[in-house]
Amino acid sequence: MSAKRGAALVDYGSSDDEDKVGPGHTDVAAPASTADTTLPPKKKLKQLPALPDYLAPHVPVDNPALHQGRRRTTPHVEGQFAAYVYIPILVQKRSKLYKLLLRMYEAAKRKVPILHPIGLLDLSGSPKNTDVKERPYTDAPVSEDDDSIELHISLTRPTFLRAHQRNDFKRAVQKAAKSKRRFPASFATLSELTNDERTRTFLTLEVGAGHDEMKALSDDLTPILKSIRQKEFYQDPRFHASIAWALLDGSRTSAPKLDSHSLERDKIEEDGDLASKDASSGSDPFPTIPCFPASFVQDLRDEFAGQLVNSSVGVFDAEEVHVRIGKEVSKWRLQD
Amino acid sequence: MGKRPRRVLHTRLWHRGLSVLASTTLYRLAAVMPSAVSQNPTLGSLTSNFPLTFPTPTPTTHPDLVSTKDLHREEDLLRNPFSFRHWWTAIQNVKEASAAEQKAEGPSDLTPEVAALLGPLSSPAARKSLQRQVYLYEAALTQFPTSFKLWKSYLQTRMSFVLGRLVMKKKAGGRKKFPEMREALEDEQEDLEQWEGGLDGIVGWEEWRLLIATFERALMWLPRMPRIWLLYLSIFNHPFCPAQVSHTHARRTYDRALRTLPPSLHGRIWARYLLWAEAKGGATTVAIYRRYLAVDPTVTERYTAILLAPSNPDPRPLEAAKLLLSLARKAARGEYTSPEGKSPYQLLTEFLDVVEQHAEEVGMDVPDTIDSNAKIAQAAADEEAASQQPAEQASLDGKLIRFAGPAVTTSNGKSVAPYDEDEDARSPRKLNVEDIVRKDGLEVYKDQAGRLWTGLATYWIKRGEFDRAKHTFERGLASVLTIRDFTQIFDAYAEFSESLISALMESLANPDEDEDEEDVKETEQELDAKMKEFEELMDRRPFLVNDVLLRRNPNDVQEWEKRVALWGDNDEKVAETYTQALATVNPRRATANFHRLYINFAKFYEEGGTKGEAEADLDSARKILDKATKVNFKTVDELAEVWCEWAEMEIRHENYDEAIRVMQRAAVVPKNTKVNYFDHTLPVQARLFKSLKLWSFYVDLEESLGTVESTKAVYDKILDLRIANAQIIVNYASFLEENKYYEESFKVYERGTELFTYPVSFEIWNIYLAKFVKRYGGSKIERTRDLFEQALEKCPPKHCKPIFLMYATFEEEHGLAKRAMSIYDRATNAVADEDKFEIFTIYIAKATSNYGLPATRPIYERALEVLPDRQTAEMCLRFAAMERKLGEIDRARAIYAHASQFCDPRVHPKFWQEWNNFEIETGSEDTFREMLRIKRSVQAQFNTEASYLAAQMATKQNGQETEAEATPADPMAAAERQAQAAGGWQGTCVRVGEAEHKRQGRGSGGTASRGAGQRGRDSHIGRRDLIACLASMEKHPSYGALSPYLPKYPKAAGALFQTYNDLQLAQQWTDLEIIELPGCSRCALRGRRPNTVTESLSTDWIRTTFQELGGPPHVYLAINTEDSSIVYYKISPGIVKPPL
Repeated sequence: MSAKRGAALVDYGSSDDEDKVGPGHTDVAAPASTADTTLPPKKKLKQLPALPDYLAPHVPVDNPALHQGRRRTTPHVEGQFAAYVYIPILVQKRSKLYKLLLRMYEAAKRKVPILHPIGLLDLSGSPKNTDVKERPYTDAPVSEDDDSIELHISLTRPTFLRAHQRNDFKRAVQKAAKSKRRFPASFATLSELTNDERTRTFLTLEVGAGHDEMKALSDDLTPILKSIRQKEFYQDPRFHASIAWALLDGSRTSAPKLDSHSLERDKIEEDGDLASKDASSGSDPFPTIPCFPASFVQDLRDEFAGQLVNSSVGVFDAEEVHVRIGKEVSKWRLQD
Repeated sequence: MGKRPRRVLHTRLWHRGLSVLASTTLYRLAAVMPSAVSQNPTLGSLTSNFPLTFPTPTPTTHPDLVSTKDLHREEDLLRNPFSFRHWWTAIQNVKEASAAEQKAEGPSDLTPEVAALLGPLSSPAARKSLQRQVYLYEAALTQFPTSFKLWKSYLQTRMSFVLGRLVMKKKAGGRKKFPEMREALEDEQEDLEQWEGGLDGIVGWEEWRLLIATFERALMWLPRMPRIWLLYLSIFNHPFCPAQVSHTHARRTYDRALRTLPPSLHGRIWARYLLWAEAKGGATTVAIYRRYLAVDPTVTERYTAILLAPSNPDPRPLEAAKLLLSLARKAARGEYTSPEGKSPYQLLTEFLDVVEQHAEEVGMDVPDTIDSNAKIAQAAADEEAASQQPAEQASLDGKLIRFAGPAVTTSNGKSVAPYDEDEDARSPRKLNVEDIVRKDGLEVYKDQAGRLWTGLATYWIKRGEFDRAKHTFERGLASVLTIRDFTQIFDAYAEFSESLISALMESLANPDEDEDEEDVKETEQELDAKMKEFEELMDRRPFLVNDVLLRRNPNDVQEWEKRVALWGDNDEKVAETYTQALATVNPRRATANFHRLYINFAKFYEEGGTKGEAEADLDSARKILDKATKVNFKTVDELAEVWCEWAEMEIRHENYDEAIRVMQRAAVVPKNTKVNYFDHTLPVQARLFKSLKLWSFYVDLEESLGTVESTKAVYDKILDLRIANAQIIVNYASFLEENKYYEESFKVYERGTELFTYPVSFEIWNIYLAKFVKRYGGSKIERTRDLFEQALEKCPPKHCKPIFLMYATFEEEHGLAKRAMSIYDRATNAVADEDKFEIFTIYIAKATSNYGLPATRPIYERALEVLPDRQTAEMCLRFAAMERKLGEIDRARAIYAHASQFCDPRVHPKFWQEWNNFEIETGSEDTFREMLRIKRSVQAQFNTEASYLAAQMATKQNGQETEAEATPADPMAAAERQAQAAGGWQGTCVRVGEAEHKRQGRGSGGTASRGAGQRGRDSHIGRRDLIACLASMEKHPSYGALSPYLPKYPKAAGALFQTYNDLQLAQQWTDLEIIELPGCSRCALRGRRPNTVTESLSTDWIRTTFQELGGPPHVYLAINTEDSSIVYYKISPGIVKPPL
């Protein structure tokens, strides 16, 4: 869609269309293209006058500059709380995993300089617990103390609760947690995942062992999500812990769009417009990329996947389930 | 024709001789008839008669003043010069003698015209008489110069010779001693002296002058006598009064009178003075009135009327306007009350009228107005600034000297209004009409804004300032608050525009010669512009009206909606109007359906403008609705409506999840649910969770979009909140049933029956039982029975019929017939009276089909006991028919006989007809006769019943109607009385000897009580029937005896009437008298019971009869009972075989 819009801005775009609607194209393409040509004038319907200020609800100003260029993906609604359920993983700073993560990040940063770390606070130099309240729905780990960092494995999508639904939700999470035993899990590989809105892309560690248990936990939460009319977790979930992220070009296009279908994918199309990327990365304080470079993930995998799957490095125990509603975090231990 | 030159000749002649004559006189003289010319009097010859009284005639100068006859008188006077009586007698004698002499004098040889010039002095005898009297009076006055009597008499005598005869008017009623000046003026106007004849002012100038000189002399002696002053002043009103004295001299004389006489007498002088001034007109009037108004403003209105009178050659509209304005202001302040009873506003409208009519003379032109307005605004600003600082004291004792304006009186310390040039009639400054209308009109009389604005606009129109007028109209339209004012202004505006256009068109049609091409073109352009303006004005009218209504009540939601509608498909304006409306309206004061504004506004965005031509903007729509949900509406329903509308909008756009989320947001149950739904002190948001409307919608939504579980959860919440109605229960149950949760659905019904009491729970029970029976049929009989019993437990009689029927049907189908019968039996007891007949009918039908006809007998018998009379008759007919079917003719007959007591032959002919048929088909002659006898006796029984009267009226209503209306002279009074009588229809009546007099003759023992019961029921009859009853009561022969008592005891009147008649006519009592018992408020009846022949007959006695009759085969013994029926016994001697 954005590509098409970009093309319409180019002078010769229309002549391309004309070429297509040549006499040779007598099949189904013709009505489709005429439909296309009639579409733009419809799009140019006049706008209704904007609402006066007093009618607009009071919304805190969303200033991406305060959040490394990130934007809200869901508009603020009064009395609504963002929530998500996750499994925390504590990584000791002395552990091998932590060191591996540091090395991974450094390697990645070399290739994609605009990369931001998640949880690896010491390296990034960004302040601790940055703007947690502003992005409760991102996979932002919160370190418990200085000796360790915390990685999150999400069990739900960002969910929006009304105030009176919070307790019901917590009860449902508690019930799900109490009904499961703790289980061991491990990281299997590195991968790139993009958020639904295609505004950010993430470098993540995918879970291998323990996937089924996590799926069971996630499925247990589906009824409550359905009853409050929120989206359940992905049909074919890939449980993961994010370790770094970067802004995508999509975050520039004004307001975030709520696309209903899932956009999880491994790779982004290879049609990156280098010119636009260069232009944007020049003066902009929040540079974006169209996607990770082609062999980026593969290179990282080649370099680090071997060490990650080592049983002394990427293995951990899932012991707790946390739910975060607004700023409040509730914790339940899985059964021993 | 031949006469004409002669007349001209004479005219010339006169003209030459009389060059000093005034023109009027000239004209009169010119009309002299030619026949009089022989006398040929000249002015000189006429004036030569005068002066007659100067020097004062004495016998020495005029020897003929004294004749020999008068010597005696003269001597007498000489001897007693100080005796007033002598003088007076002498004068009177001379007066009489002269009068006689004048009468005796023959007809004058002067022509009438000349005689008219000379007036009273036309005859020599009159002249002589004047001289004689003057001689005597003067002589007397030398002796008594200060005698008022003498002077008055003298002056009147002199006046009568100069002024002519005074016409004496008849005065009606007395005069007020100190009347208001306005009234005084009117009275004085009526009383002004009039004279017949009189000496011409030119011919008799000398005599006039002498008369005035005499007055002056009199006033020298008696200056403080108001009578003399008034006499003096009266001569200035004479039509012949010479011009030399009637102007300046008159005015000065008035002034002298005022100066000389004490102020208490000024009123009398002023009344004349003002009238005189009015008659003089011009500057005189103005000057004199101004002097008076300085003291007393009450005649201002009269003065302004004079100033503006069409007859006034020199109108002074500015002065009049200023005076009126001043009056209006004073009246508005309460300092002035119009003697003519005009309100302050009326005075202001009068001012406005003057301004409108004399716009040029009264008001300022545009530049001056603008200057003045600016000055006033500046002054107001200065004052505003000055009021911020403490006022500097102008003088130590707070008193200041007024420099400008006329002198004013300060009374009781009230501060005088500051000098205002607008109110100063002497100031030539013109008025700033705009400012005055605004300050004295619009700010004070807000309800008359229409008139004031049009007045102001008219002023500008009259001045030709059309732009300014238009501007005024526009300002008026933009500020008025009522439709009446608006219409007034708008109509005037439209009329003005129309006339302007037509004037322009006319000038185009008939161009002046001096107009060139360019002028014409200019006019055309102007015309086009005006036409366009006019059309725009007409188009704007609905908006302007809407503006007015919104100004009056900015919270009028309907008007805002109208405004939106007026804008049609102008999206910008529509949106602007909506935003303005939402910003302006106060939700708590808004008229009904304020929420519709929000909803419609949201819909406007949702659909992309009014026509859907713009891009739909769902986000804005959501924002608007979101805002709406935070508004504290007047009713919870409105808020609920907003939420429902929001959810519906989401559904329209297929965001089903969002719709449910919206409803979830709306239907939040707070922790404290003990909120009163109707507590208006709480905001509607706090009470929303109790809105059934919201929940109903939510539950509908869940039913169609959600799962069974979620729907159940919502239904349960509704039940928990205790806001469910029966419909919700039924819906819930049927929802569960549809989803095959049968037991749960029945539980919901149970819950419903617990929540509600009869009559609401009746419907629930009805559905519940039907569903239950349908589902389980005969499989759970005990449980079903239990349910039925529960349902019937608390069921009121009114509602239990269907349940009983269902129960019985159930038992018949699935249980035992016996139980079914017992249920019917129970039903006959339990149901309401009006349903009993139906139940019995069904019961009997069922019993017949189950057990056969004979089994119905006990049921019929019970029915006859239980049912009310009318239905008993019907039931009896069926019963009888049944018995007949079974061949039990005697039983059937007995039943007919029993039923007969309820059936008046004239009201229920059907019953008697049926019995009649029955007897013809099955009976014998005897039984038929018996039937007829019973019929008669029943008829007789109903005859004496008052209720019958009513019943009869009911059947013959049409025939009676005219009579009923004709009878009572005062229908209402009669109806009143009758209503009271009806109330006491069954009132007790002390009935002496009633105990012995039980109604033996009436059929069964139950009859009497039942009869009473029937009467009770039948007394519920309409007013018309009551009147008719009264009419027939009055016609009754016994009415005469009762009439003194009936109105006295209206409550017992009916009973008394009835009892009296019964005793008198049926029971044959004698010596009946009525005794009043005031303490009981009743009448008692006293009388003698007839001796009834209740003897017992012995066999011997009968035998004797046979013997004495000569031994017939049998005799009939007639036994007469008290109800006048006769029973015949056939008696035969010895033992007789009964007939077969």
